[in-house]
Amino acid sequence: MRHLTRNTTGALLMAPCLIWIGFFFILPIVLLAINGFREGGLASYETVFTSPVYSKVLGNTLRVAVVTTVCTLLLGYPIAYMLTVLSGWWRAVALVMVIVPYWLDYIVRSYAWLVLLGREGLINRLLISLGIIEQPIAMLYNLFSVTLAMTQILLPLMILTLFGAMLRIDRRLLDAAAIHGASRTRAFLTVFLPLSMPGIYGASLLVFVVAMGFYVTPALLGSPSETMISQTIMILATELLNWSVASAAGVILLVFSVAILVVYNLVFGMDRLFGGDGKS
Amino acid sequence: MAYGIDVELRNLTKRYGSFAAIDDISLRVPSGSFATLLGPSGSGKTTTLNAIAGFVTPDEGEIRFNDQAVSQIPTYKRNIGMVFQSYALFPHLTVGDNVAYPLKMRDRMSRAAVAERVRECLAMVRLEGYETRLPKQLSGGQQQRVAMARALASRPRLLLMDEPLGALDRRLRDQVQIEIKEIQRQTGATFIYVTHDQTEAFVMSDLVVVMNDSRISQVGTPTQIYDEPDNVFVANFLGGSNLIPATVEGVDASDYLVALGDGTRLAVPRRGQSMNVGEAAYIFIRPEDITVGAPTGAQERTVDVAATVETVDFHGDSLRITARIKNTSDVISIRTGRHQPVGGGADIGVSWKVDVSRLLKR
Repeated sequence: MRHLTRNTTGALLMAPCLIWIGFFFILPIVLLAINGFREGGLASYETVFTSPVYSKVLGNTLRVAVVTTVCTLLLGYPIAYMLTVLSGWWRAVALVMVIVPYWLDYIVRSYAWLVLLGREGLINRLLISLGIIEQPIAMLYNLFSVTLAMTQILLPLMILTLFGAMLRIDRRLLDAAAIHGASRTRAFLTVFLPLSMPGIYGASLLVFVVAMGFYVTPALLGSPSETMISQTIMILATELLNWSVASAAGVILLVFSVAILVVYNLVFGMDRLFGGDGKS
Repeated sequence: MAYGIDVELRNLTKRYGSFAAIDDISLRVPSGSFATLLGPSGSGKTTTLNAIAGFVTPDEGEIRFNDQAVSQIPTYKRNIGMVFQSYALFPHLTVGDNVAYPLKMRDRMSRAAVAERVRECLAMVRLEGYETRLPKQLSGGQQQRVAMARALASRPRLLLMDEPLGALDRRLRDQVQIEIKEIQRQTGATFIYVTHDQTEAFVMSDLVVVMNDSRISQVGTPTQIYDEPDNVFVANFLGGSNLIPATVEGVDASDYLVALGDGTRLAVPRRGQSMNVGEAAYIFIRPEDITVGAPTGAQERTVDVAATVETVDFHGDSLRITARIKNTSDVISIRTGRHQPVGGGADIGVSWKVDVSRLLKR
């Protein structure tokens, strides 16, 4: 009886939230999928999977997302580790330096890269004035500029997620490693790194899923001939008015992202990402 | 020479800002002995242990192992074993790999030799066959023993233990205390043990180091510490004690002559702290050293005092009586056999042998 009451209370407390999400998020997605299906049926899905145009887009998307994830991980891990080592005031300062860029809008940060990477941008001018190159290098409007900017934009997400996971590693374990004969390097490799693996998986997963659906940065810094899936969906919906294929591509992106999260949840337990102990 | 190393602390000080966690600590723990750092929390015992381990770098003073300064030697090269309060077992490694950890890090041993040594260590703590379990699959008591086995695996000549029994229940603790003492005897290593539990300290130690306020209050064998406290802190910290206010009135060859609040004069042996005539002092006496009964009058070197019983409490194996010394406000507590026929308000005579009492500075 008591249990039931508690469940009911929980449901009631969650209700406003669930209604909001259901009405403004889930319902539109369902309508989108249904409308797309009504218009084009399975043929739209077939188009997305079989047409070389879309498979190239899917390939681009996966490639950019994977490279971005790997780059943010390689850059973010040492920074997150450093954050755990710092204490008090220094940690606060470092955290602010990580978080402040995160608060800036994606668009602002993407424009900043335009300024840096353009033909007449800071980097080209600097290289020319130093005499290293004679003609400006084309750094913009390709998957390189997209990946570079996305790495910078998603780095704070990687760092903060890793940092959260690393904070939960008991520092006494490193003392235990040291007193039982492990140098700092070996203690890191045998104790800290293995214990931070769930954090690595979790943070990579978050960054990967977010990167898959990135729109603004590839739209501003990418090339129309090398688009990512969100751009393609946008073009299909607003320029080509091909709603059924746009909806199919959207549903595929959604299903793919959710599938990754589900697999992670089954293997590690989603609550690890948010401070729980995960699956035992 | 015994297997264990000789550990010496010389004028060790560690400050955090203006707070000294340990303040000018000097101590020698002889090779192969079991020393316990005993004190309330915040007394500096864990900081001392962490300095010996090398987790904490002292601001002043030095630590010497077998007469060699170790300040420049990093923790991982000090060849120490340690059992942590939280055990600090590696959660991602099996019991076998936890115990093998020091062997893999420190000793170049073949796989077979490592496996053999792991078996030996687990047998020593009676956990044979647990190699493939993970720490979280074990009970607290079992985890404690794995921590012990890991600490001993590479046969360290110094073992540090930081309140390793704090998380265990009373009965298990009593049993593990005896096992730890036995392991110490077998290995011959020097053990330095931190606790705030006096019974634990008494049962296991050769040497008890009582700490208070970042300093050492007294060092001695368990009986010395209990019977002959050097100061009021030690007297109070270790078990029940009576501290009866008195004033020094005279000194002779063997005794101080002191006066109680009501002017009763009695003798206290001249040992420990030296006192001057006129100085305020406490007479220290353990509750179990006081007997209740008719004045013994004639007996040599015995003190008789008249008192009024205030409360009588039944403690199972004994009675605790509190009684007020006649014509004073000073209350003494007495521990007697459980069949003592006294009740509240009764006038009694209490007596003790002069030689079990001591005089401490007030």
